Parts: sequence; C-alpha cells; structure tokens
Amino acid sequence: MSGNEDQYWEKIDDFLDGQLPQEERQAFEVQLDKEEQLRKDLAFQHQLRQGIAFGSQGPLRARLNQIHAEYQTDEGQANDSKVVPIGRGLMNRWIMAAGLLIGALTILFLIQQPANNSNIYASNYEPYALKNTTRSPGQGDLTSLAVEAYQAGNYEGAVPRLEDALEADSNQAPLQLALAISHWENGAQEDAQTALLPLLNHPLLKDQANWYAALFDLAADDVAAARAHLEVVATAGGGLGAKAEKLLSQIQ
Amino acid sequence: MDDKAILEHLQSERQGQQDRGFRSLYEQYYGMIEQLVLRNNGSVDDAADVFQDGLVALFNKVRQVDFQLTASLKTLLYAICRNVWLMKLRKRKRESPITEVHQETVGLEAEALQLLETNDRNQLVANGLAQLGDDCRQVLQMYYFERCRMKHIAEQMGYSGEQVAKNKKSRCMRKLREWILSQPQASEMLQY
Repeated sequence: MSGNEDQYWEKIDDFLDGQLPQEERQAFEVQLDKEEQLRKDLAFQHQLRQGIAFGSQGPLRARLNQIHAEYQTDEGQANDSKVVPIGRGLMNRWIMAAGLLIGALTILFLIQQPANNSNIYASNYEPYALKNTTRSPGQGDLTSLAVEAYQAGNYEGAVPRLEDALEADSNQAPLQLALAISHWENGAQEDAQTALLPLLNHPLLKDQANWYAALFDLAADDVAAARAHLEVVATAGGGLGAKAEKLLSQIQ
Repeated sequence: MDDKAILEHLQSERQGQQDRGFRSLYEQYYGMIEQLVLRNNGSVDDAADVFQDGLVALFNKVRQVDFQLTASLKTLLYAICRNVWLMKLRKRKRESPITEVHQETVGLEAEALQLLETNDRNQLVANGLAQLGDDCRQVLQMYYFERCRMKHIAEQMGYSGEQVAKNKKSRCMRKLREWILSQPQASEMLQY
C-alpha cells in the first residue's frame, strides 16, 4: 500500500468534508463526472464514514443517559417542591386555582381560533410522492439525480437538481410539482407558489397542483384563494375531489 | 444559556463543556420534544429515545467543518427529532399526519440522520470497527464521529504531532477497508 493511495482517500475525505479549496473542488468534480471508479470510491468512503459514526455512539450515549437521569431527578425534585400543604386557606387556593384554570382555558380557546387554518393545513399536507421516471440514459442522469434527492427528502439538494433537469427538458410536469414541494419544504413559500403556476391547468396534474396551492394558501391564512383552488379540485371528483369537498366544508 | 453559548459548548473538544451544552438542551427543549412524541402516538420512553437520538444527530451535525446555524437551535433540534420520530413511526407502520408543537421548520439533508439507522450496511462497518485495535477505533471515532481536529487527536492519543495522527488514521482506514471488503456480503451491501 502506498502513500499515494492514502493521499487519494484523504482527498475524498476532504471533498466530503467540504475542505477542498474551490479550484481543487471544481477539478475534483470534473474528475468525478469522468471517472466511474472515483464515484464508486466516493460512495464507498461515504458509507464507511456513516458506519463509523453509527458504531461510535456508545460513549456519547452513556453520557447522555447520565444527563437524562440527572435531569429527571432535578425535574422530580422541582415538582415535589411545588406541592402545597393542605390546611389553612385551602378554600382560597381552590378558588384561585379554578379562576386560573378558567382564565387559561379562555386564553387557549382564543389562541386556537386563528390557528385553525394552519391546523387544517398541517393535518392534510404530505409531500408529493414523486415516482421514478423512465428516461433515455443521457437525460436520465440529471433526472434520476433530481428524483433521488427528492425521494430521499433532501429538499435543499433537490431544488438545484430539479431545476437542472427541467432546464434540460421542461416537459416533465411531475418534476415541476416536486420542485414546488421542495421549495415549500425549504421554507421558500413564494418560490413554491410560483413553481405551481404552470401546473394549475395541466391536463394530468391540474388537481394535485390546485390541491397543494390550496394548502399553501391555507397555511398563509388566505381562505378565499384556498377555496378557489379547492373548488377546481372538487369538481374533478375522485379521491382528491372528495378530500377537497371535505376541506371546503371545514373551512366554511 | 443562549444558542451561541450552547453551540460553543457542543463544538468544544472537552467533554465537560459538551455535557454542559447537553444539560442546557435538556432543560430548555426536552419538554417540547416530549409533547411532540406524546401527541403523536408515542410514550414517555419513546420521547426519551427520540430526544437522545436527536442530540446524537445534532452533535454530529454541529461539529461538521462547514456547519452554519441558519435557524434557531430550537428549530433545528425540533426538525431533527421530528424526523427521528417520523422514521420510528414509519417502521411501526403507524405514520399519520403529525400534530406539531413548534411551527418553524428548517430543511435537513437526508444524511443528517443516516448515522442513526440500524441497517445492515452500518452494522457491517460497525463490526469492522470493533475488529480494529483500541487505538485505531479511538482515532477513527474521534475523527469521523466527534469530528475532532488532528491536533486534538494527537494530544489525546499521546502522538508526537498532527502528521503522526494523520498517518495513523490513514492506516486504520486501510485496515477497515480491507476487513470490510474481505466479508462475503460486502459487495452486495455496499454496491462496491
């Protein structure tokens, strides 16, 4: 085994750690595009690093168990010290407690009212389930990278890859919908809504696009806009249509 | 303790400092994560496991060289624990829309939680790690899990300098690779 081989693996490590200077990083990426063996070695090293991290947690977990036990003891003592002896003034305490409870319930009620739309959103929103697409090999590289990142829930990584794939071929509506969802998951709400626009009248994905547009509007508390999108979905019937009808009745 | 101070503690090379950061996270956020789990079909024990898994993943993440905090620590820890709990629910086939107890979100790369997955691939590498001598295991653990600098590894291991620690790490990785590739199931599991 030679020092050269060690240097080779160290360079892969530096790349994975984001430690390579910009020029070297670019050169490495070019090399990655060209050399299949390097891609395999990179994936292999990544797996080794993950496995080492997986197998190295024992000592840290032992410390955390100790901290957790201490925390629970402290919490228990804090709760014990809050116990009030029963005796003189008990009635007054009960009256005070009842008053506080009523006050708390009123506040809770008032707080929950405006949050209603976001609750409806939260209980209905699930990221779009993007299926694998079959493409010719040349185009498939970009597309499959995008699909892979999206399916892995790597939405930050998915956005640039989906954009690249759509730039190469804009006629991939499922990828466009996945792009909208990725923006949404990344907290880029305006970008998400903009990405949905080309799909609102799409012959195949119109219903899903309007469904997500409605949920995004609900999250933003824009009931009127949400209703307009839901009505489009409801007229289409089917499972999603039924869900849209239910949602329309909820937000009325 | 505020976010900046907790981060400095978690990023410290000293375990005592790190533990102070963990204690502060327990005091500030354990209740929130417990609520998240209890409101979403989990038990008190589940909550303790999720919080611990979340701290392990957070520790590994904040110690990465290029780590930058783009949201509050509370939001980041919540996002990690939320995903950990979803992962466990999925395994129990009890996934349903989740009731949130904290509304802010932050994006997480898929690999942030890979170190928690008990899968064959991780297990194979962990077995390989266990085959190595104590020194090798400690060096690789400090470098790849705790993400310590070479200088610190050299000091901890009593090596004369960073270069010695670096060479040791390379040798240990070579041994680990060789052991793993000699296992019959390796090529299928690692697709290598």
